[in-house]
Amino acid sequence: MDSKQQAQNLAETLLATHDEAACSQCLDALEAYVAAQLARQAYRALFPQTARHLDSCVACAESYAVLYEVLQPGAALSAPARIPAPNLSFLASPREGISHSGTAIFVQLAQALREAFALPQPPALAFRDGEQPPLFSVALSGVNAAVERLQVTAYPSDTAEHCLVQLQIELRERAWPDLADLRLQLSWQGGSATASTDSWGSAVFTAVPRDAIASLALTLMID
Amino acid sequence: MKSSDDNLRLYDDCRTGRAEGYEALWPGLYRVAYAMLRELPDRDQAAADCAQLALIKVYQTIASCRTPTAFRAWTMQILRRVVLDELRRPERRRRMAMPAEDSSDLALAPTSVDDLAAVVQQILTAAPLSERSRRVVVGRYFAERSDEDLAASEATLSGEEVRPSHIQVTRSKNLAKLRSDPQIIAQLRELVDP
Repeated sequence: MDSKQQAQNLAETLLATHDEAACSQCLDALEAYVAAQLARQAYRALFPQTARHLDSCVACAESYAVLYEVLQPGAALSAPARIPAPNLSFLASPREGISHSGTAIFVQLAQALREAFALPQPPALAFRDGEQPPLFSVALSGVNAAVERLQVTAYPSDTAEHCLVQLQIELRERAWPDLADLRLQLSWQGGSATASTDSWGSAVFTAVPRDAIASLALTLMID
Repeated sequence: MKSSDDNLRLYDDCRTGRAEGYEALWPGLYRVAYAMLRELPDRDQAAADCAQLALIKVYQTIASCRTPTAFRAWTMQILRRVVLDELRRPERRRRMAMPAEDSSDLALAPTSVDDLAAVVQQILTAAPLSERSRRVVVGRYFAERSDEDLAASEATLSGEEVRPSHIQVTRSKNLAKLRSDPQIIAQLRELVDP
């Protein structure tokens, strides 16, 4: 490589622009990059974009160094004095929050909501003007012998303190227009509200306090 | 090295949501998180948080594990990514930021040179970099030496252990220092081929 090309390479590294996408691509490749380096392969040639990005991004270079240290064969890991116990409450199934009494179904949504919030959020979809993306959406399938599917979706409300909760119910043996007038009660710590489904099996609760979302529970009456 | 059978048994336990599987994964995840987070003042809590988050991600994404015979290695990949994300949080980086080698401005004299190679050489000569930093940049870009080779040279010169990863971080930081000078950037923009 001649000196002009070498200078051009350095200049391009200095002029490289930074964006999250480039860092994300670098991090995705970093494990394989370090593995190739430790295996004495031609890692810079195998991962030229990663190599160049590491020269132009201090944060990624530091991430690389941490990974390099821990992936070295025989790396002496400093041992903790004690290892705390893990919290395995995430293993509880949302189904454990469902109970029945006669024709009433009680659904405690806390666990399902915790899982929904813990999942990586998908990219925001394009919404029509004035239509807001949901705060969250949780679907429970095969709720019981009568209820095929129950979907709970919360949308932002006009006020920062409240949200709008929409419930969509699918029954195994009934469909539009026979889904009207199923009675629902949504309750939370310190309050509750009632509503009935329309002929599509949809019901809306307005003005549900946002800070009560974690304690939401639903009672569904099927005649 | 854990056997394939051990991996498969563990994978099956975790896939079916058995607590035993996650309890078996936990100590290894915690130890690696603890080792990676050694620079943090709240290392114990951060290690517990990262290992816990990794455990939940394993639970949520286990269906995407393509090689159950290497299940432990797969969970470690998840953990390492979680820890890197933790270390990259802006508040962490602000706290851990190392002082610059030399905080003075470069203050390059305006040049009439229109040859890119000459300008780059002039920048490297005028920049307030230590000799070691200059060797690390020049060695990579103009002598085309590997970081392993540069690390070996620097270790000989200093009499201390120098790893290739140290070379990489040193070079990135010094290039960032050069990049922070608007005059250098403006000059290079005019000369670099689009």
